[in-house]
Amino acid sequence: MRRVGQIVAVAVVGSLLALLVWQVAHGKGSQVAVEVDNGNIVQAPLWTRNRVDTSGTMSLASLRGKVVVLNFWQSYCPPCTKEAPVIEAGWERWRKSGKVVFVGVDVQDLHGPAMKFIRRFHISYPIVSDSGSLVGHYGVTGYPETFFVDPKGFIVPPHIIGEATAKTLDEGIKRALTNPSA
Amino acid sequence: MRFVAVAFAALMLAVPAALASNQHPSQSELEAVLVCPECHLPLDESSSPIAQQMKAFIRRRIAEGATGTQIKNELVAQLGPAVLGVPGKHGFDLLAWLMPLAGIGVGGVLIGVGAWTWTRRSSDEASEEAESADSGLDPEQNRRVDEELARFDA
Repeated sequence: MRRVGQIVAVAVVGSLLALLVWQVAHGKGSQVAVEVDNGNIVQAPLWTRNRVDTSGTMSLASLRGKVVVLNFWQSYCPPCTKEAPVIEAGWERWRKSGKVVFVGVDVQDLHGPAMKFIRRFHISYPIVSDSGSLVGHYGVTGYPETFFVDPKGFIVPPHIIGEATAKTLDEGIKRALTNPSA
Repeated sequence: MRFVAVAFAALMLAVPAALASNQHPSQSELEAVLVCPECHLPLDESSSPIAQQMKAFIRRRIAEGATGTQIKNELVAQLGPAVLGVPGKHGFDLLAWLMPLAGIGVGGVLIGVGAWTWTRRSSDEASEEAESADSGLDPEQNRRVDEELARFDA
C-alpha cells in the first residue's frame, strides 16, 4: 500500500514537472520578436483592442492592405516620452501616402496618464490599450518597441528595440512596403 | 452549543464590518490586496511608476466616494486581472486553482482509507485478544493448541 502511494506521488510530481517544462518550451509569446530579430518574416499575431484616444475598438485585421507601424509604449516610460515626437512626425510624413498606418499600443497604463501623454505630444494616430497579453504574443521585452507589419499581415525586420529615429522608421516602412509577401 | 453561538455572533459582527470596509475602503487596505502589474509586488511594497499611478488613482477614487469593489474593477478594466494578484482561470494557470482542490480530495481519500484500515486492524486485534482471553492462553499458546488439534483432526 505504501509502495503504491509512493509511486503515485512520484508520478504526480513527475507529470507536473513535465507540464511545467512543456509550458515553458511551448509558451506563446516570446518567439515573434526573436524570429524577426533573426531576420525572419513572421505572421503578425492578430488582435482587437479598445481605443484609448477615442471610443470603440480597433483590430489589426481591419488594417490589412496597409503597412502598420506598431509602436508599444507606456506613459511612465522616459524613453517613450523622448520617442513620442519622432513617431508623431513619422506619422505626419507617411499618412498622406495612404499606404501606411501608425498604431500606438499603450501597455498596462491608466487611462488618465495615457490621455495626458497623448495630449502632451499631440499624438494624432490611433492608440489602443493592452493589459499585457499583446506584449506576450509579440515578445516585447521593454518600452518603447516598434514592429512593422506588411500589407498582408506579416511582420518584417527590423524590429526596433528602444527609441526609433526618423531613419529607422523610414527604413522599416520601406522594407514593409517592398516585402515580397506584399 | 456555546461555540456555535459565539461563532454565529462573530459572523454577525464580521459581515457588517466587511461591508462597511468595502463601502468606505482605506488606501492601505486596497494597497495591500492589489498588485503592481510590472513588478508583481503588492502595491504597498512597490514604488514602480505604475504603482505610483495606481496609488494616486486609488486616492482620488476614495476621495470621490468609490467603493472597494468599484476601484478594483476599474483598475482591472484598465490594467488587466494581473492587478488582483490571482492566477488566471485558463491554460496552465488553471492548475493553481485545481491543485489545492485535488490535494484536498486526495487527502480526504487517504484519510478515509487510513481510518478504515486502522479501525479494521484494531477490531481484528481486539477479537484475537478476546479469543485469547476466553481460553486463558496467550496468542502463542493458542496458536500451538490450534496446530495440535489440527494434527489430530488430520
